[in-house]
Amino acid sequence: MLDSADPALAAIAAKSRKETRYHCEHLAEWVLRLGDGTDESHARMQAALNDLFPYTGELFAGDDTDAAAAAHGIGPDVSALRPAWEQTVPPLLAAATLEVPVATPFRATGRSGRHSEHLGFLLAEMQSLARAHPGATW
Amino acid sequence: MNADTAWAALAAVPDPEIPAISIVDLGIVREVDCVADRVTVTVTPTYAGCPATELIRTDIERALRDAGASEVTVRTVLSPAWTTDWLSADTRARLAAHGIAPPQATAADGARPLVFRPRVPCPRCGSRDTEQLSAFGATACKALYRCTACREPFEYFKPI
Repeated sequence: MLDSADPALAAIAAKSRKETRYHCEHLAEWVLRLGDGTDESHARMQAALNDLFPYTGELFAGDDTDAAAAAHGIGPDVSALRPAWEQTVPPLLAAATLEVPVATPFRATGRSGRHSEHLGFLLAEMQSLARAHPGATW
Repeated sequence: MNADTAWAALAAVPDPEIPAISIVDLGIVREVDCVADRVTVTVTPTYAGCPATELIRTDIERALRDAGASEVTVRTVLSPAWTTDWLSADTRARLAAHGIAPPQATAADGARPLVFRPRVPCPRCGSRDTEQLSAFGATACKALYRCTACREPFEYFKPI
C-alpha cells in the first residue's frame, strides 16, 4: 500500500504502518502472556484460536474489487501477503505454546455478501433499539 | 501578518496533553503560509486517533487570530507521517524535566514484533532499573513506568 498509485491511500498506509507495528507488539505480548500463562488462560486461548482460526483464510482471498485494485497498482495482491503472515503469526503462537489448528476447507464469504443464517439474528439484535424507538436521537 | 509572527504565535500553543512542549516542538506544524492577514497552517496528526487533534485546530485558530490574522485555515496532511524522531534534543530535555521519559529511536522499517522492552531511563534519577506498569498512561501515546531505584512512577512517551 505504501507504493499505491493513489497518493491518499499511500499516505494513510505510511501513517498506519507505524501505528500497526505498535499494535502488533501489544498483541504479541498478550498472546504470549495468555497462551503461555496459567492452565486456564492457555485453555481459553487455545479454544478461541480453534474457533477463529478458520476465518484467517479470508485474509488472503481477494474479491473482484481487490483484483481490480491490484491490477491498477492501487492495492496489494492479497494472496501475496500470506508468506509474511506465515513467517510472523504461527511462530508467535508456537512461542505462546499454542497449537495452530489444522487448515480446513472452510472459507468465510461475508465480504462477497453471502452470509450464513447467523446474520439475521445479529441484524435483529442491532436493529432492536431503532425499531423500539423510531427516530430516537441521543 | 508575516510568517515569522505566525510561527512565533504557534510556538506559544502548548500541546493539550503535554503542556510542557508546544505544537511546534512536537513537529506537527508542517507549513505556514501568509497572504496579507490570511494564514494557512498545514498540520500533520501525531496518531491517527489522537483525541487532541480537534482541540489543536481550535487552539491554532485562536492563537493566530489573537496575533492579528483575519482568516485562519488549518489544513491536515498525512504525508510524510509524523514520527517521534522529529522531537529535537531541546524538546526531549524539556519532556524529561517535566517527568516524562522522551521517546527512544523508532524501530527500523520491517522490524518484527518486539517481545522485549527497551530499558527506559528514569527521567528523575537517570537509573535504568525501571519497569513498565502499563502500556498506557494518562494518554494512549504514553506508557506508565516505575523506577525501581528512586521508586517514582513516570510516563514514557512511546516512539512511533
